Amino acid sequence: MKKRLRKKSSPAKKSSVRRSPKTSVAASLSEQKCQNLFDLTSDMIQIFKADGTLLEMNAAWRKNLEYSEHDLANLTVYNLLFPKDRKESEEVFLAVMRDGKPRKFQATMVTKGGQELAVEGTVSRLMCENRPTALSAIFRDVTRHKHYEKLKDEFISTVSHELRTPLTVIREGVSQVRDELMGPVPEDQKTMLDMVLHNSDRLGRIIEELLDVSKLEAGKVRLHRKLCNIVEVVSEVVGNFRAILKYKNLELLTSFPSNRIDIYIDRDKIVQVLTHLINNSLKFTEKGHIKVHIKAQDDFVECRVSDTGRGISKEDLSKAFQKFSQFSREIGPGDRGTGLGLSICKKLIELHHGRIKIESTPLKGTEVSFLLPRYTHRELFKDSIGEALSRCVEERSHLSIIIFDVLDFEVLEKKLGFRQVENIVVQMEKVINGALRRVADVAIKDTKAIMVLLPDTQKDNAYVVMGRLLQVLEDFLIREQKTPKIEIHSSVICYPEEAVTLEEILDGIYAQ
Amino acid sequence: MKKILVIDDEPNILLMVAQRLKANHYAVVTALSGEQGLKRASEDKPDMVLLDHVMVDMDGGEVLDRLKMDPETRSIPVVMFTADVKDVKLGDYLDRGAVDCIYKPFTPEDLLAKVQKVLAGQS
Repeated sequence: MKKRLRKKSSPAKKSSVRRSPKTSVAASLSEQKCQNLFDLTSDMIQIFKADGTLLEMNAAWRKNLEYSEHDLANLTVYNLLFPKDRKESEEVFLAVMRDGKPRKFQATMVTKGGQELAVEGTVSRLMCENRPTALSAIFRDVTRHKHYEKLKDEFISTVSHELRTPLTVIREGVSQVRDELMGPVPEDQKTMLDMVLHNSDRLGRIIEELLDVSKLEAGKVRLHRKLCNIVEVVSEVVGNFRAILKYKNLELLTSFPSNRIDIYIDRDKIVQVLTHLINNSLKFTEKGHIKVHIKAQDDFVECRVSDTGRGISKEDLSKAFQKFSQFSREIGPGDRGTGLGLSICKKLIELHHGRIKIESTPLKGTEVSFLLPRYTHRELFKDSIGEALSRCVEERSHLSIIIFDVLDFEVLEKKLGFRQVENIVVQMEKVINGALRRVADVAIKDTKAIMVLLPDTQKDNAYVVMGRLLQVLEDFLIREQKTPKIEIHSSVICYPEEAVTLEEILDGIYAQ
Repeated sequence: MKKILVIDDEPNILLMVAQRLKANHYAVVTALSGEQGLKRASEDKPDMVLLDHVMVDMDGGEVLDRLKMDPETRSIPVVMFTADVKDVKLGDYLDRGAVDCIYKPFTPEDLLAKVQKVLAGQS
């Protein structure tokens, strides 16, 4: 091997000596280009060894961190990092050194003057004579960006609290007078108080929608997807409207498949979308019917809400999903929305990686349909872990994943039949989801394994949860009393201790 | 008559909730701060506690933890009041021993149904 390398390297050496003037100019230009990039970029660049020894830094690095050339002798990369970020960064650096795959990193650095600097960037490996020698980190100051993010979060939670509290007092105060808690109220005054109540509820809804939009736009809405029978979800929402449809003398038509269709969705969010769509139809339909339709395709499930209402003009239709677009408005009384509903629906469907579209003919009616993807378990595993991981990286928290494996699956399959065993795994997933306490925690099944995602959970705590869930599972299996006995192997994989990237986590899971 | 302790640092809310509960034949004790709430809980031995989750002197979660740590108050069911974004803290509070949550702005039906449910479960 060594021999061959030497052979290969010698002609290269020769050619560099005998470089034609043209190639030498090109090489020199390319070198200058690199040097210019290094010197002039506003990104900070540092070349360092995995033990932390600093080798070279660019001007932007010196400017931002306020260190001069002669300060550097006594510094290592780890001295520059905020203490609580040292361990995690070291893990990232060592992983890059090991496999050469560039990785993103986020950390807080401390300037010479003691200022904290939030940075974000990429670390990659540098090779010298075929050996991993050093690391280069290219990163930028995101302190201001982080600050604005924080302000935005604070704004959302402050607005929630500060608007809802007085609204509670107004609503409840009026409602108590209306309910004659303080003494009799004449009928005409009751009518007036009802109007106040109705409008305070409307204000409440507007606040909710404004908050929903801000949260969606700030990327703060996380889905909590679980396996749900979409037919049941849609039927339930439609059921809530039966009385009002009857009252408005509108016919309700439904077209649902007879079998159950299980898909992974955030139930509450899909209920919110459907409720909004049916409400919209209700608002703009005076006579005829409202039809709700579900159709299952191979990769998608389609849900459609159509009506025989007043429809939307072509001009308005193009901006139907834009914020604050209100149409089919007539002068006079009537329920008014915020013009935010459809844009919220669109964002919620897109969070599910689905699509939504609207078609309408003025005076004939409107049809809104959305498609939700049907994931394979493996796709869902990847998608859910990816989502949870990016959030944990962003918030610099931990992510633990518990894996429950059904042992000797093939043996069980032979004895009990695939259907039977599959059904048990489905039941197990349900049992675990029922035992999980935090909203963000979720269990998802593969053919013969169940994965439990625990965001913001350190390894020690994950083992506590695992112990509790194992007990729940064992109780369930004892109740089921299957022969042969079903045995479960459990394990935990943690970010960032054991795996840093999505691939590493997936490798870790499938290696189990 | 069942006794309910309401802890909220917003006097108007406290008044509204107390009036509504009294009108529905509950005995009501109120506290305007976390510290006061803890004192009332151990002295008055209420049948349940309604606890606001954001207060100036002490976070609702801390009050909850202290109620659950004290053997004298541990068994009193606690329902959290929250004006915060839905679903953010609920699971966390349930993990720490609360039995339910009421979101502000609430309707009287909401409030009374949850109170009734909790008290029924307790007896």
